[in-house]
Amino acid sequence: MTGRGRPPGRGKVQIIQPTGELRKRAVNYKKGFSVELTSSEMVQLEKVVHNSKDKFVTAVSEKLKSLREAAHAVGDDITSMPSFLKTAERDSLEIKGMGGTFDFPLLTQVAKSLNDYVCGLKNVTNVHLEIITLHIDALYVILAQHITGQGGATEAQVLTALQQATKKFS
Amino acid sequence: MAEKIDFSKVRFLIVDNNTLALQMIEDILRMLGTTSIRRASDSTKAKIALREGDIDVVITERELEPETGIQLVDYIRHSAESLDRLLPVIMLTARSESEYVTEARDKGVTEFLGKPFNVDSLYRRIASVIARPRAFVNAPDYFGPDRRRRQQAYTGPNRRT
Repeated sequence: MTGRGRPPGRGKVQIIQPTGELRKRAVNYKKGFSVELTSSEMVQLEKVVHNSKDKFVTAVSEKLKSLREAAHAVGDDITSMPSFLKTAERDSLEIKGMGGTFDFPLLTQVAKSLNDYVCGLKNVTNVHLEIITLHIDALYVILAQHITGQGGATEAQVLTALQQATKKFS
Repeated sequence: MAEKIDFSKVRFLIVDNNTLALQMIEDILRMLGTTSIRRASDSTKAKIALREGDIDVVITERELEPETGIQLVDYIRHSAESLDRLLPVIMLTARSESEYVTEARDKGVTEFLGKPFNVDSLYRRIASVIARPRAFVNAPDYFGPDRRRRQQAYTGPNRRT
């Protein structure tokens, strides 16, 4: 192998200056997108995100539907709890990571609340399961009612209530 | 005259277990004019792509399986199998709390961006690794991009070399 750079060793600190090979190859004054984006270039890129919005809404709806069903199944069969928690952790993190990009910051906030809650759970009881289900329902409502932005006073109250519940029953 | 980036000359590897995120990042890169984009949905496939070479920039999520994005960065920076230990890595992750930012910086990530992201922030990081490459530091306990971002005047008693 002819890998660039040296593996870390003992002793002196070595500064390796960049070769600039990629810069030389790609940066120019004629073709491409400006290093500092212009407003028209920005509009072009924002359109890409906007075009993915419907796919996002569909994907999250499917995830929430599956999570709801899994939450109900856990109530009947407690042995499925570990896999349910793993799925809830993964899906809530994904929703947290995507919501704000598509102008659903409230979705991101509720998903973060759910993710923080699920990550910290050890011995799960029916109360914990109920709080998880409330989060899933809240996410579903935000999506179904297309609540973009931060929502209004009611949404703020719901978020506060969820956060208080997670603190009280953690 | 303003500098431009010809993205048809830049080869990307995107690593994310979320299909929608993968697709959206690919769509953004295609809009920029990129033609060489490889996708990997886990760390094993990412390592295979890295061993095949011809990659200029990696954009990776932290939450991967079977190994994390941090372990992938460690592989790029330290493994004898790594074809380019100086490869720019942008970590684009839903784990955006400060402890994860610090961890990523100390493991040799070039740029960090928390999800949810906006296209402007993502573009600025991509443009930065291409147009403003950073020096690397090879120290006993760290190998990665120079973590010093600011030049501060020294006002102490002894002259520094």
